[in-house]
Amino acid sequence: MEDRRIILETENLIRQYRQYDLVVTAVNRATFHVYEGEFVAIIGPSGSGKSTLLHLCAGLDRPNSGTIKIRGNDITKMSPDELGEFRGKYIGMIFQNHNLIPQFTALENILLPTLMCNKPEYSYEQNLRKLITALDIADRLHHLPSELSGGQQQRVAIARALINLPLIVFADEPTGNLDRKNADEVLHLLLETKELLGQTLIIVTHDMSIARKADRVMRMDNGFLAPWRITAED
Amino acid sequence: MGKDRATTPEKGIDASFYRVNPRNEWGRGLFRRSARNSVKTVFFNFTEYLSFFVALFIIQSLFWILCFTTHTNLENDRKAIASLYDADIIIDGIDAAERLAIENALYINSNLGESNFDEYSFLPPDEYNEFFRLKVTLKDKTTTEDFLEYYIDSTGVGRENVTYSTTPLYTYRQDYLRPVIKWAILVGVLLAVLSVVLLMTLYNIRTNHFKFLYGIYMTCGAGFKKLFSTAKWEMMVISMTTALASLGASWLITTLIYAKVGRTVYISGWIVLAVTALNFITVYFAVYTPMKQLSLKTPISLIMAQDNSNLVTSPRRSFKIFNKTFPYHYELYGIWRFRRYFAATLVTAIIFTILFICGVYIGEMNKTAVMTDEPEADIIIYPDDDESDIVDQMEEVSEWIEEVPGVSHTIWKNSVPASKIVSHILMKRRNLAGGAKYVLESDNLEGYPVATNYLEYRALDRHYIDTICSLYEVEGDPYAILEDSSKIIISDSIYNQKRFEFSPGNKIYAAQLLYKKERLEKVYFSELEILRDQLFFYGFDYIEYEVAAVIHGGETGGRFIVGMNYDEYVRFTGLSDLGSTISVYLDADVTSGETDDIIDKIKLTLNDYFSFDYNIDRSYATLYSELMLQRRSYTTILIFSVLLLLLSPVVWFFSQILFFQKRRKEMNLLRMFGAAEKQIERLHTFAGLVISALAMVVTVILSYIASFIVFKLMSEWLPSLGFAGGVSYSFFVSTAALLVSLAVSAICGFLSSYIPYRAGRGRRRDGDLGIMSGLGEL
Repeated sequence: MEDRRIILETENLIRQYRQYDLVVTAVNRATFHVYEGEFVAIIGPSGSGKSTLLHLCAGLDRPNSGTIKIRGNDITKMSPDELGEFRGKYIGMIFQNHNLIPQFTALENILLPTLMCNKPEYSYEQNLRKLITALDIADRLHHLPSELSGGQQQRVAIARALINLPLIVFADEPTGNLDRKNADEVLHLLLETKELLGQTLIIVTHDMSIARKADRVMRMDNGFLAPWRITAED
Repeated sequence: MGKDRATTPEKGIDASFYRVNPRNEWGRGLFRRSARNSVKTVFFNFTEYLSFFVALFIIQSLFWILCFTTHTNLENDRKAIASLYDADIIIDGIDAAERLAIENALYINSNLGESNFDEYSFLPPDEYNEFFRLKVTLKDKTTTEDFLEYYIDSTGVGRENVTYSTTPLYTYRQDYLRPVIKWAILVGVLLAVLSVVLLMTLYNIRTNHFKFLYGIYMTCGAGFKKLFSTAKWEMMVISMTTALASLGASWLITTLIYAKVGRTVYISGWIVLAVTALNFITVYFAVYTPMKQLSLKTPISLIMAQDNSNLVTSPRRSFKIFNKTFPYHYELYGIWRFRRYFAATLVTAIIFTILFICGVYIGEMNKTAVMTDEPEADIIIYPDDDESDIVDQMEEVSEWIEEVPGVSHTIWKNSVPASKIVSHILMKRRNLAGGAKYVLESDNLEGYPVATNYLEYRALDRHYIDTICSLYEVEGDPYAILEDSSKIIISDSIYNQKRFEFSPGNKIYAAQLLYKKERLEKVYFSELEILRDQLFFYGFDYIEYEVAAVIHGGETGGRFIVGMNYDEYVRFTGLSDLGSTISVYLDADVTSGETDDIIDKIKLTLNDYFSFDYNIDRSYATLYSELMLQRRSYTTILIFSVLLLLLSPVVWFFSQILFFQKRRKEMNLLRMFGAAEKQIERLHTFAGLVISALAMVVTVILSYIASFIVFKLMSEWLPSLGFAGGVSYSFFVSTAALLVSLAVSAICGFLSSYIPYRAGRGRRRDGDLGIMSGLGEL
């Protein structure tokens, strides 16, 4: 694995929040790297800062200090507009609670990133076909999110994250709101599409069964990030 | 980086795309997709966007009405003037030989195609005119000067041998449009700025309540450009929906405005262009700033901020509510917790009620300006040399002119500003009544410490006094000045404001220059500056005068009047050369169509009974006054004000309904913790009452501040920019308008807090929203 290219690289990443007079350090000097095509799971207790770290790496939040490089591009130095464009082109984000826009149909939600990046139809048509087939949502495309089940909503959210063929997909507890059966299905789909499209996948999860399938696991504890080896006790 | 991703080999593709997009309904182009997205967003969340529909409808209506009234005024004025006058210049006093020379030049140039006129005609001498008169219609952009140079000077006739006057048609074509359009542009810009502020506020409220949506857009790759484009599209969709409705409503309103004066409302292509342009500009600027601010935030902060209302109260304050009464103390803390939000809502909503108050105030000011009386013509008389007593002669002329039917009165005005003859008057302090800014302190004469030179000395004869008595309220015996030179008539106003308090029997001292200690060569900007230096460097002799009569109000300008008889006027001022201009005022019921006949009859009278030469300088005051009344400015300003007032409830309800929607979860938590429905209702009632009371206080404070700004604007700032002037306005706040505004602020403040609760209660009764579903909503 060492001969592969590094796709994500962070160095001394710090993110602090001010809560009245207290300063909370959600991410404390996090330094790590992820290789191209790798599947990395970040585990840790609630409030340990793993979602914050994911948001920072996905360019959804700004660190107080430190660098985040994706394919050598330091996203912390980018202007809001440059970062927006970068996110649209190279980053896919899946949230725990789907975050679909209620007034748009499933198809419109999926195609939202193509609209934000001004992509013409021919450029995404092929990928759209792959995704709807792989995620088995062809029948539900013209339905509003409120007419879909939780599992279906999460599939739509996955399709939305993947429609622009991102380099890295970040998933924040993607199965957190789903039952076991649906959770397994969604994970299976994520891994299948990862293989299909050759992407890098970084997942934040509490679910050890997901973490076990990862190439590499890291644990976040009280803002500190460290490599972790899953044992039978976990 | 993206290229190598696109070459990823395909695996297991199902060719089911036809099921995805059977009718290509998603559209091929970004344009259609953007439009479709915006339409869906706007109409899916129609209630959220309802306030934008109302606001844009009112804004567009204001734009339409502004353009309709401006265009209609210009068209009506043009038609009214064109129906009375068919020439730009009238040249009088042409004898037969001069006519030949001029006509020859006109004919040659006309045939050569080099003429600067369209049409001309010579009117033969008639009973009113002993000479030929030439009527000329000029080509566009040709001035009187151009014409006179070509056909009067170069033909050898010479301007000194003829008299010429321009008609209102010439004035209309040359510089009538400019002030009208200048005002329309000024009002248009002000309206556009207001509309931008309103839409920006509404959009800010919206983005604040729906950060989630924008957070997702940004997560999907939207930067400022895309956010801006999304917002712009939404506003365009709303604008296009309301455009026709606002056009229809505005057309109806404008037609009703002009129905009373029987005028037609005109429409033209430029109106549609102007309103479309104003609408686009407004929308563009209104969404720019909110979207710029939004784009600088991180997407996750917007997504997470969606649900920040689940805290019953802020952790820092919560401990303080124990042992306090619920719901009153609780809600007071609530209002304090959201103080920034409430302050912003209060000020934004109340701005529009204040604009209503200002509109009514401006309407009253406009009335004052329209009602100012102007002479229809000035007759400049060149008296015969052998006539010894000009006073008798002018009095006789005035009496003869007043005999002409339609003439209301005449004024032979002989006056001189005090500052021009290095004079001022001294008075007692009790003679001041709000005129402090027109006076200086002086210790030149004991007991008379107040000095002013904001006055003019005016010569009055019996006829002039008759006229004054017939027009204005006069206290005392004004005719006493004719017999007694130590008595004067004095007026108490500057412009149309009472500034002094005189009564018959009061004494004043008028200054006559004795000596100069130093020669003053400074440039002065006001009469008071001159007076200050004069009091310091010059010596004066003071002549005592007794006030015989006081004119209350009356014909006023920037100076009040000290009237004396002609002998005393000549002696005091040292001006032996009396003027010989008589201003002619017409009856109020005389129409513009009758004025030419009246002026002709005056000419006939003068020709028949007097042998002197004279010249008549027309001001066409009757015509312009008629046109001003037909413009229906007061009604239009009132309608503008009412439309602006209607925007206040839009802000109140939009802002408050969204706010209480966000607090629904909080209310449901309170219910879960045991709060009774009555307590929740009381909480909303209390919140409404507090906000309502605050709104009333803010309305009163802001209405006084805003009215004072309007007062300064109309009486000082705009005149300095060349927009208005000549009329002085008093500072006041319209009581009726203030009461309406207070009612609107109080009612909207209360209802916008209470109605969201009632609506929610209705839904809960229907079983639509239980406590748990309410909790799960956000």
